[in-house]
Amino acid sequence: MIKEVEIKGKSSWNDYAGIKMTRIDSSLKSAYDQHTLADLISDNSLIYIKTYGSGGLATLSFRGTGSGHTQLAWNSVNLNNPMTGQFDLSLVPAGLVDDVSIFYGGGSMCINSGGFGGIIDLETKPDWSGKTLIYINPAAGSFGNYSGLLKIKTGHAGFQSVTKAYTRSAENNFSYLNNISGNEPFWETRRNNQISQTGFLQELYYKNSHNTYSARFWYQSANRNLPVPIIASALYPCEKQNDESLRAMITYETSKGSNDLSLTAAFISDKLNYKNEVVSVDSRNNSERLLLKGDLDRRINKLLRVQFSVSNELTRIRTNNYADEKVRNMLSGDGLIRVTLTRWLAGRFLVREILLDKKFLAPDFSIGTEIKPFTEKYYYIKASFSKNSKVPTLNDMYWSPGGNPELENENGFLSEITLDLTNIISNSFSINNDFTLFRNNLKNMIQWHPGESYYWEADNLNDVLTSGIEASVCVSYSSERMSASMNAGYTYTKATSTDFNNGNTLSSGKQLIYNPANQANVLLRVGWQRFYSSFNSYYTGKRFLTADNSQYLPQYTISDLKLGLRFKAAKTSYDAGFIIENIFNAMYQNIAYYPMPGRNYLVTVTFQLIK
Amino acid sequence: MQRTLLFAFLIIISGSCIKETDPVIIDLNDSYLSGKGVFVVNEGNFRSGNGSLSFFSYDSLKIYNHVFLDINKRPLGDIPYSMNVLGSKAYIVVNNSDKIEVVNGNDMKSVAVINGIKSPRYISFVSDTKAYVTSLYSDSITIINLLTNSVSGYIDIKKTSESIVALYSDAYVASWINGNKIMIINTLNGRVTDSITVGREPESMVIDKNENLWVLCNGGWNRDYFAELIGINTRTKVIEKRFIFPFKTDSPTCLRIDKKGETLFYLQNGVRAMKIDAEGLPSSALIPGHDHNFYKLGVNPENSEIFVTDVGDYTQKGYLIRYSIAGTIISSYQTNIIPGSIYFKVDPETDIQ
Repeated sequence: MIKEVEIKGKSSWNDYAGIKMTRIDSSLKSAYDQHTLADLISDNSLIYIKTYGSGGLATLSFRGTGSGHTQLAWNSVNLNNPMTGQFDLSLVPAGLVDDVSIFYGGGSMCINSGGFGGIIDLETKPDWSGKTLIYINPAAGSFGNYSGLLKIKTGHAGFQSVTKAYTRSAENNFSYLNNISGNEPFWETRRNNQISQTGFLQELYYKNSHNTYSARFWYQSANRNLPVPIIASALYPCEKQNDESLRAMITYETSKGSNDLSLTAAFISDKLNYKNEVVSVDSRNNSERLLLKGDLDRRINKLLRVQFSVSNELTRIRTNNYADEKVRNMLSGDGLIRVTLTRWLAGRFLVREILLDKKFLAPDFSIGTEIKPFTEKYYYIKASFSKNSKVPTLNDMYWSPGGNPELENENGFLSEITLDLTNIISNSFSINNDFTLFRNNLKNMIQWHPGESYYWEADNLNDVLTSGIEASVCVSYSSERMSASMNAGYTYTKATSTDFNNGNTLSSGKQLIYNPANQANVLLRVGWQRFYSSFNSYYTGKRFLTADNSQYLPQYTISDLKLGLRFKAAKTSYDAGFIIENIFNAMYQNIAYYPMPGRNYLVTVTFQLIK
Repeated sequence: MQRTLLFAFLIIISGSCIKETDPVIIDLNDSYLSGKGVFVVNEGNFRSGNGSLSFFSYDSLKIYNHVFLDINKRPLGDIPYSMNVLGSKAYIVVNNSDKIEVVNGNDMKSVAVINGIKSPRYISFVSDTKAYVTSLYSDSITIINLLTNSVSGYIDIKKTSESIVALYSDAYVASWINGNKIMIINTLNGRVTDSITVGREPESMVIDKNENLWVLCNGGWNRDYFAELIGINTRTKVIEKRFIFPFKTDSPTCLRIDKKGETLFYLQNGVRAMKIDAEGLPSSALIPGHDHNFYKLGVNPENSEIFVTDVGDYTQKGYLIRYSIAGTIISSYQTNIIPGSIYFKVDPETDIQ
């Protein structure tokens, strides 16, 4: 479940003035070490995850926007594929990252451009305590699901090495009730649904009095068979997809006096090969990105801070789906002012200019304010208004046939207001509520449509309006022997097409497809001495399947139960967990005709050595 | 606060009891299948499972969508592509579900499902007990035993196949994708007896009153060849007429013929009509395409009314448009997504054409 971010270190309460930002509780995240990021975010936030099932493509949909409008970053470096604009959350195990921060709406501009819905930032970081940690976490579950995660953190106060490795394989051959393929319903086993993935992350950190140097390297690969929707016939041989990514990053940070400087260089290579022998498709896609980024943060006085950022991203695509190799360069410059006007009022103004190849785009901006009406209370009123831009994906521009090199960037005018109340009743008992209203007006949205020839073409055709509310409550209690908490959230999102310029108005004003208007979740956690347990349940409302809203997927609620025991010795600790997922055995579909697994089980064992 | 949270929690938990899993259609119509009318096979979007069957009734002058789903309480399948009828049974070919749905012609109630047919496209009845099914991806024609509603064999024609026409003891099979052949199968022994080389990608075929076979070749999806309209003498198997379209960008589709077998119709920037004894291709459209995105065509064998489907942007509901034989619009009706093949129910009891 989401917990309001705790600002530490150099940050003060107004660093993110007007921005809604949350962080997934680290103790909760550790319970998902053997799950994918898609599972973690789906269970513990109100972000809609569109997934083709266990191991299948899983993409984000945030505040009614599409998967290309919600971004995923690793230590503030965007990971979305430049060809598709998406990131497949099913390929990253949650145990690989240390922190997950969610920036909503215009707050995403703190990290990058184009995240109309928001940005999820994955942070990996060292532990400067000087201790050595060895963490081994194997797991086995239903449907031939086996996985393992290894973490080694070692070093001293000036140097740290962090090594993480994981592997996972799954048959995903669950049973489901097929009531569409014949006159009588029958049980069927999901076929061609296997996945095999491995990954390795190595990080080195060095710091002295003023400077920190880091080098990070992340490799991952995944091979999977792609099952067809149950309404279609299986293919023999089945469709196959191979993903391989290599990410490297070096960072230099220094802090002298009132100045903080950060320099980052990153190289990201993504390979995606798709093969369908039945129709003789062998799609090979390689993208390479070189990113250089610099931030200078200067505290002018107690009231005023300014920050200048420059980043340059050079992208090269080699694929047999474009006419030839494509290269694109995007240079971006930011200016950010943070001001603390009074003890109860803070503001933030960001302006950004982008040079795309040789073309300057209209500048973007974000303005926010935050009011803390009572000095002694943790009550905040946050408001922001932003203009954000998203450049077209390279597939939109160059896919052959149908890509359109003349596409303009998409624009979003994003506004929101949040009321955030935290009541600390006692040292052991606190309640946090937040309530947000948002409204996003998205212009020039790119859409593929039938062209004059046989194939479809990309154009700036559509305007979209998304608006809604987000509400959450978190109640937590802790004592020496016992801890308990309850988190609950609800979101309502209206996402409609407002200006359809292609002549067909049947969808105008209708809810966009695969955008649930209603979502809710609840998480209950109880810990007593060595025993811990959690029960979480999330509700997803109906999702329309057709632009005219004449067909929909029914609502569903999925509940999971986890029970576990922890043992501690001098330097070692053991943890045995038993998870029942979809405990009520709900039959449901996240995408039409892609069945999801019923009740299933996972056993995890964790060994941890700290010295 | 506690009560509110408890209420929210109970609502969430209660959702677990919901039994619906598959997609739900809003506002299903009451089906009205009696009397004369027109069936439209709506293909739906690839792998979305939103294909369906519509019926336009001459009695009520209304269209009824989701006919199969409404009656059989399950979706028709992924990419229903064509339909044919023999006696009291209708056979709906569902391409991407690899199946044929056998239904009663009168009420569309499911009789049987013939599964395991690789990417079927069209079904043609070569006798009262045997049918041939063409395939988009397989090099074989599938033989269906109509008595048992099962696959009884295959005929290897070494090419994928699209449209099929049976005449006497011959079945003419067009090899469409990247093809330029009409394969001839002896339906008595199931052997390939001959082939005729035609233009690039023969897409649709009809038989005229003189028992000549007309083949419309659309020139290939990539416009590498000129489209052609070819007339073949079925007795001599010789091409007797050959009309080449003037531009490579011409891509005619969906050849049809009237009940008398005298006038050909096809789609090319609208609906074009051409007498079988014409000396050249028509220079203008009988029904201009204008703002439409015409996809399939049918000519009512009883009253010669012309029906055309308009698929719009392929993602929203399309239209069935009804024209007089002179090309004057009579009315239009909203169908489902990607309205495709058209079949006429001219006999109020069973007959569909």
